Amino acid sequence: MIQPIQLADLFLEGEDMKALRHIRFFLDQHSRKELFDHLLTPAMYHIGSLWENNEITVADEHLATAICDFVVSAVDNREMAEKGLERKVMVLGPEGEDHYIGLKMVSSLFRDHGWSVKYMGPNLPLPHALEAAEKWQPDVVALSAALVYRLPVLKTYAQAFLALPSKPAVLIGGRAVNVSNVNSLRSTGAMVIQDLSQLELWLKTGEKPRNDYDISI
Amino acid sequence: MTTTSQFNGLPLPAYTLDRQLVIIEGSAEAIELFGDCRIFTDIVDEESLKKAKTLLSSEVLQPKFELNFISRKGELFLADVYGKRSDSGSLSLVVVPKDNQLERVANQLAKLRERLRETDYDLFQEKERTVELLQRVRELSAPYIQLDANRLLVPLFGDLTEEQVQAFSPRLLANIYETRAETVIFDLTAMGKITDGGLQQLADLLQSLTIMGTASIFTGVKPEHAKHLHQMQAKLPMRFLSSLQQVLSSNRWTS
Repeated sequence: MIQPIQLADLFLEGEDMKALRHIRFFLDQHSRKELFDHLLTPAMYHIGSLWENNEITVADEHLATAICDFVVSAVDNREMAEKGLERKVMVLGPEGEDHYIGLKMVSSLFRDHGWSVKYMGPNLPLPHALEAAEKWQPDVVALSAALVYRLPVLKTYAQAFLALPSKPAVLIGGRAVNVSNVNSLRSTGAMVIQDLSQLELWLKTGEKPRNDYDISI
Repeated sequence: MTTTSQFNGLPLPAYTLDRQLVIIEGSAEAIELFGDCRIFTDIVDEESLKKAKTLLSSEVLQPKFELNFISRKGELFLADVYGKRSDSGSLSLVVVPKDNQLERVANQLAKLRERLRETDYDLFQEKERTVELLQRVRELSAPYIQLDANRLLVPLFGDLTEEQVQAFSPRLLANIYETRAETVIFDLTAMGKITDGGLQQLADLLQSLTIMGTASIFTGVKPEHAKHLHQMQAKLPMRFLSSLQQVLSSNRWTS
């Protein structure tokens, strides 16, 4: 079974088909959530640390991200999405945020649980996002940011969505909520999701994540 | 911080730093780009800070690395940093902003990705709509008309495929049960070809009808249907009449 670091190497070498073959093999025995949690996320974090150690450049990172995007899309479950017409989720990243692999994983997980998903992508201006939400009337709006200094923007977005007449639930996740104090986000009424396991638990049981272990910085 | 002769004429942002990364001197370009700063880490983007601190404090300085910077105007940009440590321990750094080539390509890719995503989603929605319509068409391809208390007329439209028979069977059986019809007349005048799967499903349907005590009559059979239906007739009680008119004018108009 392939390890995250080997997979990261394939991404960096631009080996899309090889990566896909390994991932399909992994999926024979594991769920998509396990793929995202145990393979893709660690692989992408590893790529981030390679840049920090000056072993690769931003250009390499872009290539790896594109390959990762490709495999996530290629193994996405489209069959479930057709049937799940009753519950709708809109997934997006705020303006200025260019990280989008997390958004794709979240979309895929929602689809796996029979939701109808509208993936709006990263870097979406708020007026545009609100307009789409009013038109499509999602039950849930899922927001994500990788960079910590996007948290104030996320808060603005969360408040705007929560104020819509259709009152969608707002979920906030991404690397940013893991490395900083998110109490001010939670005070808006949005639900903060630390990782895909919490999201899966919520999707399965409707149980809100317990975040007693939050650390204040 | 002052501009000194060392950097005069250098067309790039450059700094000399002490061991604590405090800026000792900066080139005119550096001040122009980043403003007057005391410490080098002030101009480094938050997400690049760890990398900057680790690399700049290491004993053996790597000659070239990438960092994200924030300009005086608040713009975030990526740059190559070339560095050298002097014998006294001070650092000389030259900051070379990446030309926007990479950014241009990245933006172009983002736009293409966006377009693919939109096309993908549109196609997906169209497919969803088509599947729904197809199912609707199948269900409607066998309307049933109650002729009298005992007889139900079912004209079949289009090709008779497995999916099609599966689509209209449940509704038909339920309807027969409710109306207690004794005879179902399948009119094939408007029917296209029969597939093997369709034939098999039709046989199952007729079997169900037999068990429910309902007889089946086929009218409007074309020569190409006859070949297929012939095989079935051997196993199931089916009656054939050449036209619907014949059925209607025959016996039991009133029961």
